[in-house]
Amino acid sequence: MSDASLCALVFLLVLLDGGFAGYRARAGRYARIRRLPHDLRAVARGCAVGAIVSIAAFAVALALSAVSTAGALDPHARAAAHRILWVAGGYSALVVGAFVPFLTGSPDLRSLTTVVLFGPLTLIRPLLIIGACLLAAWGQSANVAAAVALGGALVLAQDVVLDRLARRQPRL
Amino acid sequence: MPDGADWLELSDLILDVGLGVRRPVSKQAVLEKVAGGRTAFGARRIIEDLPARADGTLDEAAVDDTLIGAHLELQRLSSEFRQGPRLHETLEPIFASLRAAGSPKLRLIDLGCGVGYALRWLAAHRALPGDVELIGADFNPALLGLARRAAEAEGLPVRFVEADALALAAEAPAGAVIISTGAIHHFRGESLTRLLATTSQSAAACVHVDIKPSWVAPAGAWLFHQARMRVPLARHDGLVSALRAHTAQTLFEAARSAAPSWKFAVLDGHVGLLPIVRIMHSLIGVRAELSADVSARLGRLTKRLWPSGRLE
Repeated sequence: MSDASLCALVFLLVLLDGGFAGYRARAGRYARIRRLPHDLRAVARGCAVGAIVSIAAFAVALALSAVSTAGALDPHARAAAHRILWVAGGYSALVVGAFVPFLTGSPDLRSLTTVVLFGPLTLIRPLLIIGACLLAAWGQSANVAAAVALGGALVLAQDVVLDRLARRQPRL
Repeated sequence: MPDGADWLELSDLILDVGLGVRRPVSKQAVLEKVAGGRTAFGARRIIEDLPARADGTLDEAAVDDTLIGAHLELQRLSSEFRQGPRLHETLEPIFASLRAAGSPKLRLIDLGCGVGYALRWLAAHRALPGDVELIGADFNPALLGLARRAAEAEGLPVRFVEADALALAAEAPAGAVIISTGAIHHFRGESLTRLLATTSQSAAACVHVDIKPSWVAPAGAWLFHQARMRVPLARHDGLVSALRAHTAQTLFEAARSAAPSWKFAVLDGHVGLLPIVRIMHSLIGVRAELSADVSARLGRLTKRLWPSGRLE
């Protein structure tokens, strides 16, 4: 996989995570029954924050010389990005895959998906991000480890930002 | 278990309202109740964090805001667990049966409706015939206020009133159906029997949906509320609700003794190996003369009726 593809995939994962975080931040804070437009706006807001996080993380990596201005990764950064892709990509695939039974199944299957997959996956997400960062940084150069740590912190911080934004939105 | 030793839900302690009357609640008194009662982890801290006024009573605006926040998170859970469609599949046959029996005025009354999710869902999805009057009743004006505004904003034909639900049922006894979602476990012992007895005198049918106790419910409720809810009070009371929820047997026996002229069953009352598939159960009751017709109209749902696959 080329360095550009690797960077693009990590960017997409952060964007996806931002979209879900945006939805979660507004879920349980809005009273209407017909809520699709509202939920889509929440997802879009999350994606926007995710994009900012991605750009900020890239800038951090650039500043720490883990990435060249041409987008080329040093071997340590490449190894770290691969590890992040495996862990976060697997997690994201599980979350996205869970929508198939949730959106198409019977009420029982939807409930089961919510209890068995969505609830626990939401609960473990912060730990998974920390774990993915630790795994990615393990054995890499100091500048790559620092870039990974700051990138992970930014991804976790997006929840706080989105939560604050969501609190200001009206309940109706 | 006697009521005095029962689990305490904080939402019951921080608000003292009756019909049209709201009494101030002493923060210290709530803390003493928490200290002397059975609560889940963190209850004291939740109360301590609630703002109080100079006279030591809880700030009413803060209490309302907390309760609205908790109820909106409950609405999210209800949506995820498909409470609307589940309620609809039991109400549709009941109203069809009432119509067939010639009831002139059909009325659905949600007892302890909170922010009115169940009724608003039914109205938004046009799940019941248009001539069924939808009324939500609750004692909490703050929750009712949001329910009213939400219904108005979406143009939903639901009326929310600060009233005694059973008095409303008495106005249309032949065609009134009383429902509740997540509220029946607040009625314990004598008050549960009294509620069901009064329902049988004033209404034609009832459907009370609540959490189903099972071996997995406490752990599942804890995990799920941690993952899904932000309001600490909602997390606490969600767990406690699972701990104090009535078993199918308790509901069924209370109903049979309170209303011998009615027929009852508990939908999904059986706790199987995998209770996480159906985490709620519903006490269904109808006047005896309706039971055969309602059973027939319930169709495949009768297989899920506890204890015997029929209303009895």
